[in-house]
Amino acid sequence: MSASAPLRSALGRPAPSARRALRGALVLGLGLSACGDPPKDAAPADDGEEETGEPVERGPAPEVTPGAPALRRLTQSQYENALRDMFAGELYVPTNLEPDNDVEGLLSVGASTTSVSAYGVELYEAAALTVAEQVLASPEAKAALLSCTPTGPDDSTCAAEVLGALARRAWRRPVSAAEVGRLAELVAQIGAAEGSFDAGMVYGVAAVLQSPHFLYRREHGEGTGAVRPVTSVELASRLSFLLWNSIPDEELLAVAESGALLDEAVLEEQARRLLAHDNARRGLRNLFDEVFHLYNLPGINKDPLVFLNADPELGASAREETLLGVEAMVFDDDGDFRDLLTTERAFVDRRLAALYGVAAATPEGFGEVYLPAELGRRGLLGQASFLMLQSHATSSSATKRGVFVRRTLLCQEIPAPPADVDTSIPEADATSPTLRERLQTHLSDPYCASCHQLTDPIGLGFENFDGIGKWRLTENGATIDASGDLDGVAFANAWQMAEVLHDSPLLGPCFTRHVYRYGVGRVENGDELALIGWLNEGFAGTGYSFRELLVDTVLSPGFRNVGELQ
Amino acid sequence: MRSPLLAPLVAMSLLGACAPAPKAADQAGAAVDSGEAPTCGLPEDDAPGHVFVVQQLGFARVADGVAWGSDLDGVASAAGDGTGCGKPDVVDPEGTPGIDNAFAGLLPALEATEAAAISALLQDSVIAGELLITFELLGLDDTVDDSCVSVVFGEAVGAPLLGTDGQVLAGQSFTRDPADPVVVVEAAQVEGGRLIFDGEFTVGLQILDADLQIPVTNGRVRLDLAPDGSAAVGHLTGGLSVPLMLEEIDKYGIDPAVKDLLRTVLPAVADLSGPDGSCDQLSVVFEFIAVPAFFYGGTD
Repeated sequence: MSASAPLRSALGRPAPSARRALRGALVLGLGLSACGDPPKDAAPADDGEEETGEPVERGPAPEVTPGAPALRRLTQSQYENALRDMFAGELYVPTNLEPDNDVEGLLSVGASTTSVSAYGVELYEAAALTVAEQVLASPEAKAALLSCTPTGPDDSTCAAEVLGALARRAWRRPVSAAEVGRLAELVAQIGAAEGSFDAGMVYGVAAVLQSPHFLYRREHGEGTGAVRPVTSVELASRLSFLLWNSIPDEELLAVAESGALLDEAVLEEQARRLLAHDNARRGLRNLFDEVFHLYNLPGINKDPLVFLNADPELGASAREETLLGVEAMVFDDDGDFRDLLTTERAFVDRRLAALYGVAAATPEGFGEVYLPAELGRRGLLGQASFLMLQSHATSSSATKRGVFVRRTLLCQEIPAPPADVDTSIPEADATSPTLRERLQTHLSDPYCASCHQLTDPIGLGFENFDGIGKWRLTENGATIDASGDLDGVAFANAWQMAEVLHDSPLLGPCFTRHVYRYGVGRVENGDELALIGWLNEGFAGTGYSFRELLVDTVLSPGFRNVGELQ
Repeated sequence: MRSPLLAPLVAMSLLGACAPAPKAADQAGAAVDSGEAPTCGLPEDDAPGHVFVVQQLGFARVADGVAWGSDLDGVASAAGDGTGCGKPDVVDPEGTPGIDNAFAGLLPALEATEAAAISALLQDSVIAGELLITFELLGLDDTVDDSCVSVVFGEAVGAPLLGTDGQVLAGQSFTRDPADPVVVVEAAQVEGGRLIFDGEFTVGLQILDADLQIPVTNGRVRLDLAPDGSAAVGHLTGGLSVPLMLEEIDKYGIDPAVKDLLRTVLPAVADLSGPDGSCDQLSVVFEFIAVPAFFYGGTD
C-alpha cells in the first residue's frame, strides 16, 4: 500500500484529531525520505494541545488494515526470560543459540523474518536438554515442577499432569489431550528404559522446550477478512512479550483462556497490572536495548592504546547506565520521555564516573549522580553507550553519530553508503587537525554530500566526546568546534543540541513508531502510519508518558488485530 | 608481592606522603592548633576541593649532580666543607643549590643487591591499592596564583581502577582510609603554578603485619599544578631517621649481607642533623605524578 492511502483517509476526516493524525503521518512520511534536504517543513510536534493552548480530546483511532501476521521466533532474551519465568531456582540458560537478526533496527522485527537452520535446531535441542537436566537435578526447581509424586519410572499419569501444565505455560495456550498424551508417553518410555522417572522427565521437559509452539510466537488471528482480531491467547502473548519480554503469567493466561482479554477494559487492566510488576522493567530494558542496540556494548572493541578508560567492562557499564536511566524515567518518575535527552541525572558506577569526571556515588554498583553543566554532558546523547557505539574502534565518528540521531531518534532514512565507495577520511595533519576539517571531503563531494550533509553536522556536535565518550576540548592540539545546526536550528555544542532534539517534532512520533514496531514485530504499512500518528497524539497528550504510550499501543487496533494471512 | 627484604625500604618510601602535620587533625577531624595563626584558613563553605591521587611514585635520582628536591637544612653543602654532615648537596634542574637528596646516592648500591626492584615495588604498591596517597586542595581558586589554599593529606583504600596503560586511572573515586588520620595544612600558597608547604611527616603503614610509624622530619612538598588541573607533578623531601630505619630493618628476615651493607652505608651517607645535632638523618626525595580523583559522594 502506498503512503498516500492513509493521507487520503485522514483528509477525509475533518475533525481536529484527524488533522493531528494526518500531521503525525506527515511527520513520519517525511522521516522516511531518502538523503537530500532535511525535513525543514516538518509538521510541528503533536503536543496534545490546539493552537489555543487548550488540551483537546483525541478522536477515535483511525481504522487501519494491519500488516499480515508473522510467525515470530523468540529472541534470545525472550527465550532466556521465558525459561527463568517457568522454572524456579538458579538456572543457566545457554546463549549459544541461533542468532537474532536486526531488521529495521529491531531484533523484534527481525524475529518475524528469521528462520532456524539445521544447526540452529541442534542448538535449541542441546539448550533444551541442558535446561531440563538442570531443572530435574535442582531440588528447588524439581519440587516446583513436579506437582505429583510418580508411582514408578513410567508413570504417564503424573507425567501428563506435570507436562500438561508446563506445556500450557511454555506454549502460552491451552494444550490438547493428544499433545499432552504424546509428551507423557515419551516420558513413560524413557523412564521405563532408564528405570528413572526423572530421566524420562528430562526428555519430556526438553520436548516442550524444543517445540515450535514454544520457540515461535503464533499470532495468526482468527476469522477472515483484511482485519482479523488476534485470539485471546495470542493477545496475551503479545501483551506479555511487549511489556515483560516474556511469557504470560498464570493470571494473564487464565484471563486469556476465558476470552475476557478481548474486552478492552480487561485488556487495559491487564496491561496496567503487568506494567506495575517488576517484570515490566525487564521488558522496558529490552525494548531500549533493541532500539539503541545496547546489546552490542558488552565486549565492544576499543583500542586500549588510544583510550585509557577502555577497560573490558566499560561497555557493559555504559549499557547499564542507559537502561537504569530509562527505567527511572519510565517507572520511578513517569516523566516526560523526551527528558531522556536533557536530563542531568545519571546512573554511573565508578568506572563511568571516572570517564565522566564526576564523583561516584558508591564504590559498588551504580548510583545516581547529577552532571554539572560545566561538564558539557547530559542526557542520552551524553552517555557513553551512544558515544561508544556510534564511534570507531580508534576514534569518534561524526557520521555514525549523526546517522543514529537521524535514524533512531528522528526515524529518518539514511541509506548505507554504496558498497564501492571509499568511506575513509584523510589522516589528521597540520591543516586538518580536527574531524571537522577532515570531513570536508564528505561535504565537498556532491555525491557524498547528499547524505553526509544530513549526518555530519549533527555528529560533529558530539566531537567534544572522544570514541568512548570522554570529554575533550581539543583534538591534535586544535580547539574543537562542536557547533552546528539541526535542520536549521543552531546549537553550539552537544549540550544545546540535546535541547533541540528534545523539542524536535520528530522525536515523539519516532519513538511511537519504535514501540509499535516492537509490539507487532514488523514494519508498519502505510495504513498504520496514521495509527502511529494517532498514538503519538496520545503520547503527547499525556506529557510523553512512556507508560501511557505502551498502554495506548496495546489498546490500539493495530495491536489487537492482524491483516490477512499470506 | 613485596619481598621481606624490601619491606622496610618500601615502608620508608611510603611514609613520606602520608602525613605532613603542621596542623594535624585527629580521627574525628578536629584540628590541632599549631600555635601559629594562619593568614587564611579552611574554607567555611562546602565547596568541593580538588582531589588528587598519586598515580606514579618513585625516588628522585641524581644525574650529573642535578636532582629535584628541597634544601632541607638551609645550607648548600660541598663535600668536606663541614656543613651538611660533610655530604655534598646537589642542584635542582632549575639551578637551585643546596638540594638534599642523599638517598639517591644510596640507590645504586641498593639496586645492586636483592633490593634491585625497590622503585618498581614502590609503584606496585600504588597500583595494588596499598599506597593510595590523596591530597585535597581546598579553597583553590586559581591553579597559577592563589594565596590561600588548604591541603588535606590522607590515604584511600580499595583496589583502584587501572587504565589500559596499567596506571591508576584518573578521575576515579576513592574511599578515604578510615584508619588514616587526616592531616590538614592551612595557608599554603600557589605561586606560578607551584604549591610548596612544609610539615613534620609521620608515617603510618600496615605492611606484613607490622604497623610502621616512622617520622620524616623537615618534610617539604612541592606540587606543580597543570593549569587545567589535569595533573600535578610533585616532590616530597624529608629526612629519614637512620637509627629508626636500622631498627625497622632488624625486624625482618633480611639477607644478613644486605643488613650488614645497610648498617654500614646508612650512617655513612646520613646528611642531615637530627634534633640532638648528630648526623643521623638521611634526606630522601620522592617524585610523583598525581591525577584528579574524587571521594565517593563528593569530596567532603
